[in-house]
Order: sequence, then C-alpha cells, then structure tokens
Amino acid sequence: MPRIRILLCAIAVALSLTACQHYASIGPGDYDVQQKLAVTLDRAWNRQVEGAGRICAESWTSNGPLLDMLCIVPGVAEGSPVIGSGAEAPRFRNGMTAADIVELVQTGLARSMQASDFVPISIAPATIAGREGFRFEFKFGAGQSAMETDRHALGYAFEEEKRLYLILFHAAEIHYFPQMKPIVEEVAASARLPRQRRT
Amino acid sequence: MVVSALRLGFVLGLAALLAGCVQNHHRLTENLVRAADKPPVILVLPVDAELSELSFGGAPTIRQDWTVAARENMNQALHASFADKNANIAFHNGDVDDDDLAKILRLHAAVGRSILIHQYEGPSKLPTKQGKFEWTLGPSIGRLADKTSADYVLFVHVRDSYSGPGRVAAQVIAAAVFGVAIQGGAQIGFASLVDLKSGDFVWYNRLVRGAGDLRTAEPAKETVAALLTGLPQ
Amino acid sequence: MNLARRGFLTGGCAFCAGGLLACTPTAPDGAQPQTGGMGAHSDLAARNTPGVRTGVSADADDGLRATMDQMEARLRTSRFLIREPKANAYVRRIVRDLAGDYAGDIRAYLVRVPFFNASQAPNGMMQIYSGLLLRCTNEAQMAAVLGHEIGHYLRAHSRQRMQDARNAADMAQVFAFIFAGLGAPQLNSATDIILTASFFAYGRDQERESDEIGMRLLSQHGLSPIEAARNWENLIAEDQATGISKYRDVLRASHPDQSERAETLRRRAGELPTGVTRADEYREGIGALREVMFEDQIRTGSHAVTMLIADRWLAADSKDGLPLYAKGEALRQRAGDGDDTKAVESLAAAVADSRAPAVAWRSLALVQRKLGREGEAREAFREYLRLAPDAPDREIVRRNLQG
Repeated sequence: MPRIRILLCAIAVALSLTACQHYASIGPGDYDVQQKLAVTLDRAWNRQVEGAGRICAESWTSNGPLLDMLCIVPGVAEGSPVIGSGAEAPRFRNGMTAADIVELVQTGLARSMQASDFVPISIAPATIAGREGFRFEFKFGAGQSAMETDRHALGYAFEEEKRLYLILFHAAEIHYFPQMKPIVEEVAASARLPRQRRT
Repeated sequence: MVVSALRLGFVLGLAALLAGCVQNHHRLTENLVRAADKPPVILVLPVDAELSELSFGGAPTIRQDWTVAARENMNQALHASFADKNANIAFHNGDVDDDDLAKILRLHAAVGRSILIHQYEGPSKLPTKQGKFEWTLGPSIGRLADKTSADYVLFVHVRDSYSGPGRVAAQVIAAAVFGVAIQGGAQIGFASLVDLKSGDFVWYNRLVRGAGDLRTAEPAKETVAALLTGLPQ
Repeated sequence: MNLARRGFLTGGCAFCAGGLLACTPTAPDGAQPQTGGMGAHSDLAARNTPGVRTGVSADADDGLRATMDQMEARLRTSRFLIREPKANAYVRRIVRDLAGDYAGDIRAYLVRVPFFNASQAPNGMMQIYSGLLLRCTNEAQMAAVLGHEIGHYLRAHSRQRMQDARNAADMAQVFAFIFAGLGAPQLNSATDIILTASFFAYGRDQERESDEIGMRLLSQHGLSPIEAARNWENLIAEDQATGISKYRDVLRASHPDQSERAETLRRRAGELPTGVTRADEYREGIGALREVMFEDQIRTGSHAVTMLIADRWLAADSKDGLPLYAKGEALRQRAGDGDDTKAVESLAAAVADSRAPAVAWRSLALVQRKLGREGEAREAFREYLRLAPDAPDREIVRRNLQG
C-alpha cells in the first residue's frame, strides 16, 4: 500500500511537469497587463500562457526562462503572494519598505526556483509609472546540479492605492542580462497606470 | 482543460518524434574554419549522459553502472568517429578552478537545454523565434578559447531510459493507442557545436527516438553516429 | 489501477527526467542535487587532473572516476558549494574519524541548501546540506547523521565485497542514501522524482540498520547517542509547527515512521554509555557559516521553523545575537498578532550582542517605526548606516531619515 502512495505521488509530479509552458507572441506595441498596468514594447516577447513554472502573474521571455524572464505583477493587494504560490509563499503586506519588498522577491525566488546566494547590488529611489517607487538589482544562483545558472536581476516596484506593482527581470548573468538590460529599462520607463486609475 | 489539451498534444507530438519523422538538425556552417595547414581543434566537454531504469515500483532510478558504461562507450565512439575526420579532438574533464569559466560552462548547458525545449515544434516552442536558429553564448566565450586554444566546443547530452515493467507497458500502450512501435530504450538528447570565436551555436542536432542502447559498445557507436549526423566537416 | 496504465504514466515520468519535459527553469533534469566542496580526499584529488586530457581509459576504476569527474566537477565549481576552510576542515575531520578504515573513500562536501539533508553516493561522495548544519547544535547531532550515512556506505561495501558483485543493486544507484527528504518546499522537480525512487529502493530495514551503525559509531567516539533521537524529535517539532508535513507520505512510507524511529533511537541510546555532546566544538567549527545559514533559513519563508531553530541555539546561549536576530526577523516578517512587540524584544536583545549582523538594526528600526516609536526607529536606522555604510539600500534609508 505505501508503495502505491509513493507511486501516485511520483505520477502527480510527472503530470505537473508535463504541463509544459506554452507561449504566445505579444508586441511590439502597447500592451495592457491585466488592465492594471500598461507598457509599450519595441519588440516581440513570448508570453507564457499556461502551465507549470509560471511563478508570477505575467511571465514573458525572449530566449526561454532558463536564459531570461520578465515578471510583471500588476497591483497585488494586502495578503496576496507576489512570486510563487503555496501556503508559505511570501505575501505582500501594507507598510512594507523597499528592503522588505526586495526580501520578499528573493524569498519568492528561493522557494520557486531554488535560488540562493543573493548578492545585493542596489536599492534606490526611482520614479515608475509616474509614482515614487524604487529600483533594485541583485545577483543570485538558481537551480541545481546540471540546471544551475548564474543570474542577474533588475526590478522596479511602487505602491498605488495599497497595491504593489512589480516589474522583475532576471537573466543569465553572462551575455543575456547585459544584452537585454536596456530593453527592460525601456519597458519599465514606458510603464503607466491605465487612464481610469489616474488621479 | 487547456492543460490537458496541451498534454494530449504533447503526447501526440512525442509519438510523432519517436516515430522519427521530424527534422532534427540545424547547421549554420557547412565547413569548420581552419587555420592554414592545421586541422581545427574541437574541445569535447564531458558527455552528459544519464541512464535510468523504470524500477519495479514504477519510478525511474538512475543506474550508475549503466551511466558509467555509457560514458565510456560514448567517449570511445567519439574518438573513433573523429579518427577519419580532418579535425583534432581534445577531451575536457569539466573540472575548472576558474569561477568565470565555470559560469561559461553553466551558461553553455543552459543554452543547449533551452534550444532543446524551445527551438523545436512542441508545446514550448517560442513564437518570436519564428523558426530561426539563433543561439549564442556571446563573446564571453573567448575566455574558454584562451584557456584551451581550441576552435570549437562539442557537447553531447543524453537521457536514456530502459525497460523495466513500466517501459514494457509503455510499448504496449504506444502500440495500441498511437500505432507507434517503441523498441528498446527511449533516447532524448542533443549534440551541439559552438564556435569559440563568436560564441554562436553553429550546429545543433536533437535526438529523440525509441531506439538505441548506450550500455554496450557497438550500439553506442550507432547512437553517437546518430547524434553527430550533419556535423560540419 | 492496472499495471499497464501505471507503467504508461511512469514511462512519462522517465521522459520528464529525460529532460525534454524539464521545461521549467525550476526543474532540474533529475540527476544530482547540487553540491560542492573542495574537500576531495587528497590522493583522489591528485588523480583528478584538471584541464584538457586526451585518451580514454577502459579501466574499471577509471570508469568510476569518469562519472565522478563529471559530477564532482559540477559540484566543485558550483556557486552553492561552501568553501569556508574552517567548517570544511572540521566536518571532514569528523567524517574521517567516524569512517575509520574507510576514511580515504569518503569525500564530504558542504552544500548551501537550507534544508535538512545529507546523502552518500556509492562512489564515496557525501553531501551535507547547510540546513542540516544549522539544525544541529552540537557535534553529536551532526555525527549521528554522518554516522548514519557512513553506515549505508559500509553496509553496501561489505556486501559488495562478500558477493564480489560490482553491480550489486546498492552500488548501482547514485543517490541511494538519503537520510531524510525534509526539504524542498514543493515536490516540483524531476530531482524529487529521483529521490522518491531512491526512497523506494531503500526500505525500513536498511534505514534501521544504518541507524544502528550510526549509533555504534557515535558511541565508539564517546559522543552522546541520545542526540540521534533529538534530531528526529526536532524534525517532528518542525512538522508540527508548520502544520505541513515536509516528510510527506513519501518518506513516512519507505522510511520508518519518524516518531517510531526517534523512540527506537532513544531506547537504544539508553543501552549505550551517555557520552558527550561537544556543543562548544561544534559552535566553533561551523561558526563562520551561521550567519549565512540563518539568512538562508529566513529566506525559506518558513517563519515558524526559523523560530524553532533560533530557539534551539538560544537554549544554549540566550544572549546569542544571531539567533535573536533570526527570531526577531521571522516574527517581523510573519507580522501576526503580537508579533511586532515580540520582534522588538528579540531584535533589541540581538543588537546588544556583537554576533548580530548590521541588518538587525534595520529590522529593529522598521518594526519600531511600525509601532509608532519614531525616535527609536531613527536611532536604529542611524546605527544601521553607521555599521553598514555601504549597505545596498543606504540611499533609501538616508532619504527616510531626512523625511
């Protein structure tokens, strides 16, 4: 009997893995992220439509998530998970500081992609979507054994009406991050809240 | 529902692959670039092979004995297959004491894996690639060239699974449901060639099939030959 | 469930592990949990000549090393490998003492993964996760786990010698000897499938046998055998604190039940000499790793577990600034009813001790501010900047102070 239980467990894992990522092309042009945050793209991205491995509300990639990933979290409310899911997934709380939010992002990455060895680079004030927010960068390692990769993350966050907005990009530290950094900076610079939400 | 449709699509896709009717290699260069009078040097990274058995309990278990044998067999087959080619090969054992070089080798593995997942027809194909084959490690690869004075890097990655009752059952189901015959082990892998000057992947060959056996020398030669199909001369 | 269906589904499993389906960045392709360490036994290390080599040997031992080359090359260059020399020397010395005649065969690696685990591969490679080092608070507890792993190795090797069967099942599996799967927050990777498979192959009898060998090794070295039972009791407490069984059914099924195992070990310990725990030596040996290990633990998001582990260290030294910080930070992040007040208490005690990291001041400032104690908050922020003038968030903190 125990063997059957283990077996069922293994099968469940297998099936969750077979639910592969599926992508659709978005851009170039204006893109409205769940009617909560709009950006302008000067090139096409692959948007993950469905499947395992999606760790945030909106997940885009240019060369596949092993090499680069852009996460957009468009306005999550108090008590909601930001990166990853599950009972112990870190949740956004009102009153979080910039350092808290970076910590929350790192905890989310640690839990969802076996990330560790975070090396902070910067957390600095920045204006994003016309709001006072902050910009952050850090490096980290993710994955295990043959899947281990060295990554560099760049993020932007701000709060509006007690909701957290987050743009998080992370990519292979070598070649892919430096190559895509200006592209992501332009995406972030284009971010704006939809008209109806403007005050 | 979408998920299960995708899953079905995947199963059908896999069935098509195992039936062997899919174009598998990409080649951006016909000939290896060589200096005057000198054959090009191809650096062979450690073969990344893992052989597993579907155990009586139903879960796959990596078999170290098979894996060791497979690496030996494949290394020997690689040696043999280059004997009649106008290229020198050098085996690298992957042990580096240089952090930057270690990062390059990890990036190399990540790009190779990404191609396997995202380049070909399947649920995870990236639409923006539009079928073009453009993958690179970037100019940072120069560090590997400096360290080894090689011209190209060859990398072989294989995951191979064998019989056990699960495998037998899969054969029965595949034959009954999809009309596909699966013989022997299922092999999934790739071989890639990177130009050390540009960092570009200039050749890539995917192997997905329901045949082959890496546990013994002769069939392993056949698998290596299949993996090296279309390698620029 | 009929056999054919079962077989088909697990066939899919193998394809996953095969890599084609491992299409999430979080799904390793099934081989080895990452590891690391410069700890190769010296004569083996000398034989593993790095760099380019030509030619392939057909010698059987070389074959074994060929596998090891690939795996250990990956481990040695992994960024998750713990290279801190003092902790490595300390742990390796204990492994060497416990392994006796086999000391030369076993190569121990410390790996930065915040979960309780250790494993022994048949080629001699032993992996010890940092999460295990953080959960043990004395040498006897760590030696109990290492002794158990060595027990697996000795048992497999003596059997192999007797049968002269190089391919005995025990020797065929790479990750056969998992002490406990307490670990990954989600069972979401192909590696887990492999680990599951390993649990399968190693049943209760082998685990008990290795427990017994581990106990005897502890006792022979004058260490306290009761600490082996404490490991399990601590893990049970973690399960209870989180309400999530990280052992899951997988482990309960193939490993002896945790509480039964703790009970058996406790009973057996009663028959052996009391021994010593060597808590001071342990603290000294792995001391340099504690800060990073606590940071990693906080980042698992399992606040209840962080508090339990911190309390364990505080039981030995209630003024220890590092576990005081970890506990306070876990409380602050959890932010449940009354947590903020408790967090201030713990963090204020932490910053009074030199072992607390500078960020403890920032945590204290943040929670003080939340409680409306602005003056104290500003004081703590200033102290943070004074101790960490190059802090990555210095600009934001300064702006905060001006505002």
